[in-house]
Amino acid sequence: MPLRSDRRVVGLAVVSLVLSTLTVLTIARERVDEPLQILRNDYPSVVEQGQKATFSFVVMARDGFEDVQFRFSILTQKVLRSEDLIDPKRQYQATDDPDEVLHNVVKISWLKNQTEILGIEPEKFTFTLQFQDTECRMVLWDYSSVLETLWGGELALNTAVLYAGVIDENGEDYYLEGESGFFFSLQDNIVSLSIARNTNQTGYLPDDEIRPESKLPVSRAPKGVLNYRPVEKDDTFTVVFTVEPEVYPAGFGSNPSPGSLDISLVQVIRAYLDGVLFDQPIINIMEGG
Amino acid sequence: MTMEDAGRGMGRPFRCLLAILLMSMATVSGQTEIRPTIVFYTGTDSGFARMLASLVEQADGIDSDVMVVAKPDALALATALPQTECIIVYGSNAAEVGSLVEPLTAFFESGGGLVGLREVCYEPSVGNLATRVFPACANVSAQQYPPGQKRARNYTEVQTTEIASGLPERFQLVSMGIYFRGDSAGKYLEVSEAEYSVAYADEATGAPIVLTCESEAGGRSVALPGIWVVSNSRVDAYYGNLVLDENFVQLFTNAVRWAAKGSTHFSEASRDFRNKLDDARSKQERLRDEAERARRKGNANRLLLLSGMWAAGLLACGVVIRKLILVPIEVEA
Repeated sequence: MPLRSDRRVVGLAVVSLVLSTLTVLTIARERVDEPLQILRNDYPSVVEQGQKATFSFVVMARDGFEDVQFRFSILTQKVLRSEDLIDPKRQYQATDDPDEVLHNVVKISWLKNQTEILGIEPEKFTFTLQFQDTECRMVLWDYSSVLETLWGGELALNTAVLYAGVIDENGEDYYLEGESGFFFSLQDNIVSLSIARNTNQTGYLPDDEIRPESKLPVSRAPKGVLNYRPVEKDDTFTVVFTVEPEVYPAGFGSNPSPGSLDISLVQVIRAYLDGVLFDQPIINIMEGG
Repeated sequence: MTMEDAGRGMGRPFRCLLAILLMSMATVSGQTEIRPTIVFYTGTDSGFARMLASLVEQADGIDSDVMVVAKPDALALATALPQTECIIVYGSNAAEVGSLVEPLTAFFESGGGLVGLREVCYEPSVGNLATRVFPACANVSAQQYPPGQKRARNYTEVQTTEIASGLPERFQLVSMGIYFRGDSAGKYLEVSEAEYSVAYADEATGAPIVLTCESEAGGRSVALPGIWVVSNSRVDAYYGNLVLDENFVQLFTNAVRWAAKGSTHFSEASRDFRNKLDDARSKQERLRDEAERARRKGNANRLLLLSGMWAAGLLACGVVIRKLILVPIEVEA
């Protein structure tokens, strides 16, 4: 009798051990797939002069971080004059490297030479994307971080520090340039801007429309770079802004050649988690009206 | 013993080693030393910039590299580079320099050297450039010359400065005219927004025609509002005639020397830029390390918690077995 009871006991103990171990292992195996979850990334497909357009971007941290940085940049297509190009007659093939579009721009070539002697390189990103059912390859050179580091603060250069070259599947080339920021000429074009971490929201209005004390003038808004330290799991970050473009950057315009795409604006959003770029930058391409 | 003799006496391996050492030293010094650069911009016509650059290249006591840029955005980018020692800007209209107000003001306030000629000094629409950097903000002009008279301004020394070195107390330079701040009668009024020194005044109007300014961070600027020249070589005020004038060459190179060699931007930025880049890199590494440490700590805590849960689960099973199974069996037995 004691033997039978002992066996039952041993069996029960083994079952308990196995179940407990399996339960613990199941909990232990649970891992967060993506450290950052993009809940919303809305942008207009067309940005027209004098028409309101709203952009919204919401992300949630699925893990805790010591430091999170979001970098918003906006680039606009620019028609270059022949004196702006090293080889104005240069034609591209669909298989050409989009870096070559940037190498052919006098200003970028000059900047590259000036920074290379200092051992400085821009942040470089390459993408393959679809726009209007056409495959495009894009390269982005970003000098903003390195120039901010050299300058020791926020840049006030009034000139582009991000450059993009695009070649589509038909061999058409596009040149875009821009800077860090939520939108170009924010002071002139913004209707409202809201930046929030969880329920802690800060609103901005154009400087000449400031009335309620809860809103700040847009001249005091961050220039597209948002830093948070530390970040808790499940913290949510929201950036919503509405623009009504009236003032465009000098030289703004679409590529005039027939058959080319209307890549007028490109919004680039990057998240750096503890100093490391999360995934690939988000690229939002818009047509110009 | 010459270097050659000494070299002959050395063994081949030692010479190879010495060559490698010298080459690596050269590479290191090439990486760490950057040359000061003076950047020239003269708006749509860069011919004048090239002539001014040539004057600086030939001047004594200025060993900096020179560079001509044709576009304002290249000049704006140059303000952020550590090798930029001094910037020379000639603006023939406000549109050529309108986008440069912020970067040039920031460059001056961070210790940069600047020399401004013509509209960049006095055109009210260039804001801080005309009031704080080259403070000759104007509302009155003097550009009428009697028929047959040479279009030129007479420079008269106001105070002895480094910029007047080697120059006479009074000299003449070709010019289409001068703008200055004045009252309703056209009498010169001081620009009150900045503190500045006047090296030379325009003889006809009494307005400053060479003035200097310094920023708190060690920036130096020289304003030459009376330099108003044209690109047409048939006109007496052609810029090619101006750069042949010895007094202009002396005045201009003195101004560049004073602004470039006395300002602090290059010396500080070129010394610090590697530290700044290293700091940025080490900050990023520190962030990663901190994050890695926090992650490891989190994992260790999680492991502890899971082990505790597991032990507690086993204990609970033991208690259940003991109380609900063993005791009833023993009682039954």
